[in-house]
Amino acid sequence: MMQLNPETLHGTHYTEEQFDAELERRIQAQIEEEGDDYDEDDLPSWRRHFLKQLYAEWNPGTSDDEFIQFELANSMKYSGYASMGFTRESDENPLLEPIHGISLKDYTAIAANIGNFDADQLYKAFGIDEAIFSEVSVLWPKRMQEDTTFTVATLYGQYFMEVGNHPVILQLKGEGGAASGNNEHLDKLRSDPYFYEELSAARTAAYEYGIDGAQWIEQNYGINLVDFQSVASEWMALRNQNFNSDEILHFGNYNQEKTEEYRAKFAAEQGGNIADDIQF
Amino acid sequence: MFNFFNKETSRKNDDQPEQYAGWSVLLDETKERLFAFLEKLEEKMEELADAAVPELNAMKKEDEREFGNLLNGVLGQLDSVRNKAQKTYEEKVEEVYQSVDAQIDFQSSFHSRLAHFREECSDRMFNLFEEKYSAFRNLVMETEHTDYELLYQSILDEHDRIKDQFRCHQCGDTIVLTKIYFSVANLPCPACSSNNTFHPSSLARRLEEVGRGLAEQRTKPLLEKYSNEQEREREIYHQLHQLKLKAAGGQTAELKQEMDALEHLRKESKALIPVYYKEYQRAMFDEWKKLVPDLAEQTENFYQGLQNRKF
Repeated sequence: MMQLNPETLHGTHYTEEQFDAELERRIQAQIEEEGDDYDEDDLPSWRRHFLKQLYAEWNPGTSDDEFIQFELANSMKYSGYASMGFTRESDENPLLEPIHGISLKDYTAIAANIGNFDADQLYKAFGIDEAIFSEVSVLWPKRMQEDTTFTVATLYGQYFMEVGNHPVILQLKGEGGAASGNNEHLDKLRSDPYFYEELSAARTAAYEYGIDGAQWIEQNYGINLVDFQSVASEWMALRNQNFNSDEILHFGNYNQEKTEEYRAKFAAEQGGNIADDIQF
Repeated sequence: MFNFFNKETSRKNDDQPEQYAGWSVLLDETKERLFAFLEKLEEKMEELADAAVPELNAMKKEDEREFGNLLNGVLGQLDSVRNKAQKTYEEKVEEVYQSVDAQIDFQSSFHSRLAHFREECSDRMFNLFEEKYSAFRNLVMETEHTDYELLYQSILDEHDRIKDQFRCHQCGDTIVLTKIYFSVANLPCPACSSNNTFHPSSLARRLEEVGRGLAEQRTKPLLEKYSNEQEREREIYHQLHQLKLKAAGGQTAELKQEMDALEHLRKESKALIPVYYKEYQRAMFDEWKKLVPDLAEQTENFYQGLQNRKF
């Protein structure tokens, strides 16, 4: 078995430069071979094809899942976009520059905690006022639009997992500012993937029956939308970081099963589906 | 040794013309039942759409959030009807087909009768029923349409109404709103310089989104021009493909000429597609910038980013 660099997931028996040069060589050879038939739109799929081919050749014994994991870890470099769970902050990215002194991490923490504290107290802790937060709330989403690599939006998702641990928020909590306490359902959502799939399925089914699914979860389990999304980000990042297609299929099936169950439950509560009385 | 031959004989034993009459009755009955069943399901979908559309239209004006829930609920019910149709089809029709098919020989004269049964049933299910389902779904989805001209005009009207109404909380002097504010703003009083916080209405806060919706609505003809060109290119491609098939059986000079002409047209059309798309994008983003001038710079960056995207 090959030794892989834990961060880049490249084999350690070659250099990344060698790999990239060979990849480029194969792509160029293909373009030449196609000649007049070459279509620029096909480049991304050729790139992926040779990336997979080369990775398997140079790292014999790696599985398809390991290739996908490698692709996720290097998506920015080879595909031009960020992947959840693999994106890092960078001082060099102008799109991540703070707006009115509010970094993306700050913005995420404020936006996610607005229901947990007195709003003015929250703004003050970050050294801003309502007007600045209001403007920043327009400008950070604009940054996400400007960013074709999805780095800003992906980091936003990653920061969403830690909104309770932002130093300013921790300080506020210490001062007794937190409105909501701990919740055992929320802990379970975080630790039990089956419970997470079940509530996701219930939410999907609820919407199909005209029920506000996010509200349904809050009413029945005391988990608000922000906390739910935060945990959803955690599961998504975890799944990307430990990519396992069998497991994804397993939980996908479980989700489907639960969706059917909740569909039946909501249908029963509403006196059935409209075509229940029609028989073959 | 694998019991292949025994199986073969047992199949042939089943495939006796005396059985054909019984199977025929079974197929006819199944088909009739399916047709009647689907017709009843279609009636249900029609009843639902007829009742839901006026209610949705009224709700859309009243409460966007409730409208969304109701819309999801109606679509969910349409889907439940469709799921029932598909599931029943698999259980009843496919099952009958498979069981008869397992009993007849490949060369049996009953084979074409069975194939015909399946074709008629699947056509009823996957073409006619699906078409009706889509038509009802589209009918319901039409209620989602937002008239952005109207929405934008109400933002302008509101601004006209309030722009001279905002008063300083200290001295009571008028602070004129010189533009449409769509986020909370601190405005100094021109008379006493004290700070005043202006809170835009929930409608005005939507300016950015309304601006984009309206820009898209106003430049839709350009987007259609682009999609039409795409369709034209596909059409030429199919014509060319047909000629190529014909040419495989013997190429004539005439055929070759025809193919060259089509190839030329296709190249022309293919070159136009990105040009038309860019034309649409440029016009849409320019319109959006005009409607929301405060964010023109960011919106332009959005446009530039799309042009440089690597994937």
